[in-house]
Amino acid sequence: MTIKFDNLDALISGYVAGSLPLPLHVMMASQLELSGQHRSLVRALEAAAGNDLEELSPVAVSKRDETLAQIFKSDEDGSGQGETSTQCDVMPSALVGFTGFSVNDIPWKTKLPGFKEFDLGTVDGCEVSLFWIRPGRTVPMHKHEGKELSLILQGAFTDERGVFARGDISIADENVEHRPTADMSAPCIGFAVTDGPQRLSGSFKQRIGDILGAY
Amino acid sequence: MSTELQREFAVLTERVATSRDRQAFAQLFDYFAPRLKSYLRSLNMNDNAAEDLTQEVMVVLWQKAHLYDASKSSLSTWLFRVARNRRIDAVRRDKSAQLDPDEPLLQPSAVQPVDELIDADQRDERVQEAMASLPQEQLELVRQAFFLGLSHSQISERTGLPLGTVKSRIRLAFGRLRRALENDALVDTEF
Repeated sequence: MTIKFDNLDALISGYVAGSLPLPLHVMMASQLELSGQHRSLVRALEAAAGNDLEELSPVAVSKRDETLAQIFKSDEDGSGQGETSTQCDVMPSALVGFTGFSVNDIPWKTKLPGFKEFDLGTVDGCEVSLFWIRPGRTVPMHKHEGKELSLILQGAFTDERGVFARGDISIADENVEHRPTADMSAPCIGFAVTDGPQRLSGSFKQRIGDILGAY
Repeated sequence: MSTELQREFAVLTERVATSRDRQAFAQLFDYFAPRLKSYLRSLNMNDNAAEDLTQEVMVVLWQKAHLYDASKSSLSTWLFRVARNRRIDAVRRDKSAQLDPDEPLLQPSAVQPVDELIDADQRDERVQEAMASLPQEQLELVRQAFFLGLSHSQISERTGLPLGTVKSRIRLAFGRLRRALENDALVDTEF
């Protein structure tokens, strides 16, 4: 079940434009692999961006012939990479690429009984982690001053806002009493991104809330 | 955008893919390179960086033309996605240079992994209709969001419009776009 609590339009725009901090870009790319919910809108906006590209006034490239010659020469480097597999396991391929782990080799650290976490540290000013909640377990999620976005990868959790299942993005902030309970069906695994400390202290970086248009 | 032009691009790309046709590629280069450069400049890249990245994107076209599928998207859209992903890659490279260059997210082939339900011509038509149906005041703001990647408050600063106005116009515009696309999404939204 998908319940629409929050408006993801700003996240979608930022994804299409390529202007999100990397962890949020990865989250959106992963979401698009998991669920068809926003796919047509994203494809449509990308198509519109393609049209916009055509309509820009061209700016001359300085060394046309030289550049062309270099491009043709690039053949000889033989940098043919293999195709990326697009099969979607628990972890979408965008997330496997970003974290370097597939679901079975994540080096979890137990934080509380029934609650494990893998901390990926700060990337592009965001705190990034994966979490694992035992079926039926209720965990007090750490309270954040900023926004906390979680993409559910497996299982589901319920909190006072409702149910979040695979492919759903939960957006919680300091106003949400965030005590998710994992469903009985399977452990709940998710990818979480929050504002990092330097972002909170008013750096030049945009805060997630600003990106989402929440302020 | 003319469908005719897109067909021509598709034919040229096909020739690049199948017979390594340099003349066909040069035609595509002459059309797209100056526009890609223009796009990257509008994102505040300096001239050199914009040219380097433009070249990178055109290298992708030269080497991976066989991955382009004209039934899924226009070449402009495909190149836009490649440019967007390469720019994210370039920013990361500048910052730390520790990412794996083979990272799937940054590979051009990974930009369209999901199934496409309607073909490109149909979608383009529908998008264009939906876009055309937006009032100019909404369209301009939405473009700044998804094409230039500006946040609501940045758009408010740039346009001098109150933040609340920016938000409500963008919300209205997205509502319309979603409704216009609903028919595509019949299967797609069932999750």
